[in-house]
Amino acid sequence: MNHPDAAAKYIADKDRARWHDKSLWFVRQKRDKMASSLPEWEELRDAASKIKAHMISNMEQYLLEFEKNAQANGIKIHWAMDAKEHNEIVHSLLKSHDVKKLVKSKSMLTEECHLNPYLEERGIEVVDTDLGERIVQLREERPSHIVMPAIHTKREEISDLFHEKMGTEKGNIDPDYLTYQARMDLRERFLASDAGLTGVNFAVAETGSIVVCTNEGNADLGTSLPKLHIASMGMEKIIPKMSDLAIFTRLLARSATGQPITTYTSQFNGPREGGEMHVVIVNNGRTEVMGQPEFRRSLSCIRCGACMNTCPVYRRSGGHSYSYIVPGPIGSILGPSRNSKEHSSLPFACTLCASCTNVCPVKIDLHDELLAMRKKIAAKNELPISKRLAMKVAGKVFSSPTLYKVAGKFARKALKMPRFMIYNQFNDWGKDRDLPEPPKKSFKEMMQERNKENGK
Amino acid sequence: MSSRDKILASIRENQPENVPAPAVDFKKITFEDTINEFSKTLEAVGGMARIVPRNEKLENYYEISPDAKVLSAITEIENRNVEPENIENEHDMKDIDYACFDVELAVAENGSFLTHCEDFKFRSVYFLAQHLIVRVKKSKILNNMHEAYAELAKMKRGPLTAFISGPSKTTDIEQCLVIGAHGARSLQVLIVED
Ligand code: SF4
Repeated sequence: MNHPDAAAKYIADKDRARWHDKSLWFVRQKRDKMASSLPEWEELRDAASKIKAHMISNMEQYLLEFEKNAQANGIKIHWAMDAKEHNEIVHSLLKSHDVKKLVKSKSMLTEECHLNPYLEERGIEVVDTDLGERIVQLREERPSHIVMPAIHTKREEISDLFHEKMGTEKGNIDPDYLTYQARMDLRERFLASDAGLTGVNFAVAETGSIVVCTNEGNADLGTSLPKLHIASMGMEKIIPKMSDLAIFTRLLARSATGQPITTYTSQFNGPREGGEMHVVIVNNGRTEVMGQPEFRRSLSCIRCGACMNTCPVYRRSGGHSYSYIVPGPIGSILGPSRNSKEHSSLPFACTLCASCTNVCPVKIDLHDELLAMRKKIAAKNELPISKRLAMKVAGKVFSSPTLYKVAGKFARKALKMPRFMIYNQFNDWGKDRDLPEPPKKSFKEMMQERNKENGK
Repeated sequence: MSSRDKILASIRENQPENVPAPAVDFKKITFEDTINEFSKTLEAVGGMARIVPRNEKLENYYEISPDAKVLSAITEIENRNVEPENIENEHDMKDIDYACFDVELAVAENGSFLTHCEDFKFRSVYFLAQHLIVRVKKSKILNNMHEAYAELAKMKRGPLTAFISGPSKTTDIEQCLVIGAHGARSLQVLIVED
């Protein structure tokens, strides 16, 4: 489904759309408070952005350094060209260890690769252990946000879900109670698991370590109880030095949730005694993005979610209205840079307000990239149909001075039309907002009059 | 060609020209009173800090509920009643109520402490125990993460080094903060004189 249609469905429930909008704005405000409490905030962003640019331009060298050092620490390294190969590697590791039950902590990469269904089809039980991910897993949905996967669900729905799946008290909607029940249920699953899979927030070339950040402690439990630890890593997660972690750990949680740091910042330097540790380095289209200068910077993303929390379109339309697994501004670049046809409507789900660019901790030029993506999609003739028609008309109007003049006059009149003609189902811009008072005259008319007055 | 070689070749083909690494030489936040800042921040993230004056008994500064199972690497914690030798595998840690240990350093700007998770034979206890009590020396409370990583660089690192900031938590149900997701449900930090 394209973005406008999916979003329309979501906004149809006005109270829910408003509630969603407010929840996310609350997170954005927490982020602002944290950012303004650090005098060096802008310098941190600048350094983070430059370290990532440096990394991208030396990725081969740093990946090889990482591989060498990780291997010296006893970590086994695997390389996967695409999602399919990633899933095959993970499955063969699980199979050779006779794993029946896998516990997972948050990993957007495994969502990108659709790992869960792949493993389930092959008889492996997969349990997502992050509370938000567990909720969406039980609801048989995908995450609607990369940091807060269940931000679209209400406590009443979670209560009903837990009642049905875990036998909790019917109608008890207390978050403390619900979280405690999930804790007890998942604890048993951790204890019964045969392997743990984590994502990777940062991989340090210098030390051959990976860093995983969580608030719940689920990545640590999942790698301390079972003997086998598999980490799925997008290749752009590499950073040169351990001292770089200072910059990224200072930025990540402050930008994501307004915490000074995530509760657990766990650096895995090697397998634990008697255990095994594997890292799967995944490309899956990343080198293609690397080769496109206008989208390259999107590879710097540290998945904090700040651009979603601030985005006026995301806040109102919800994460599920985006066709790509990563929603919001960054997803609207990542999705179409992989498959511009399938995700052609995403870069248009944007007002070009640039709020995302302003909050991004690694200073990705998000709104510029979104605009560049629109041009690319138009050039490839893959525009969504509503845009195609509008562009055709706009193209005619802008290329003819007379038509342009007439159109301007009409537009100024149109804004003065009776309310029912503006605020109706055919005009998207009249939905949920008041349109501005039209100016009396066009800029051109004003210039002409002024020139007359000045006797020109 | 192996996938490794294919990926590396593809990187070489698409990699842009070298962008130099930045100098990270800007001024980083410091605090007049790091101990006070640490305590304040730790409380904000759901933990508790107690300053133990010199010559005072540790036991007056922490709380352990009666009948609790206590595993402690701090010998002054007299309530300890689980012998580490009796623990045979990671799973045995699941009944521990309190785990107590010394930590290498703590960070004022975010209320975290650093542990190598090697005080006990099994590391799951750091995450399975219901409550944590840790002890840190005053002089080891640093200003910020830059200082912390500079110290960590000098240390010998085991399989897992973790910065832990407060008890485990989640806001996954309607943004309501709930303390005690999977890991510890409370954290007490005892700050002692050197
Ligand atoms: S693009 Fe920037 S703001 Fe958005 S998730 Fe990535 S790092 Fe965060």
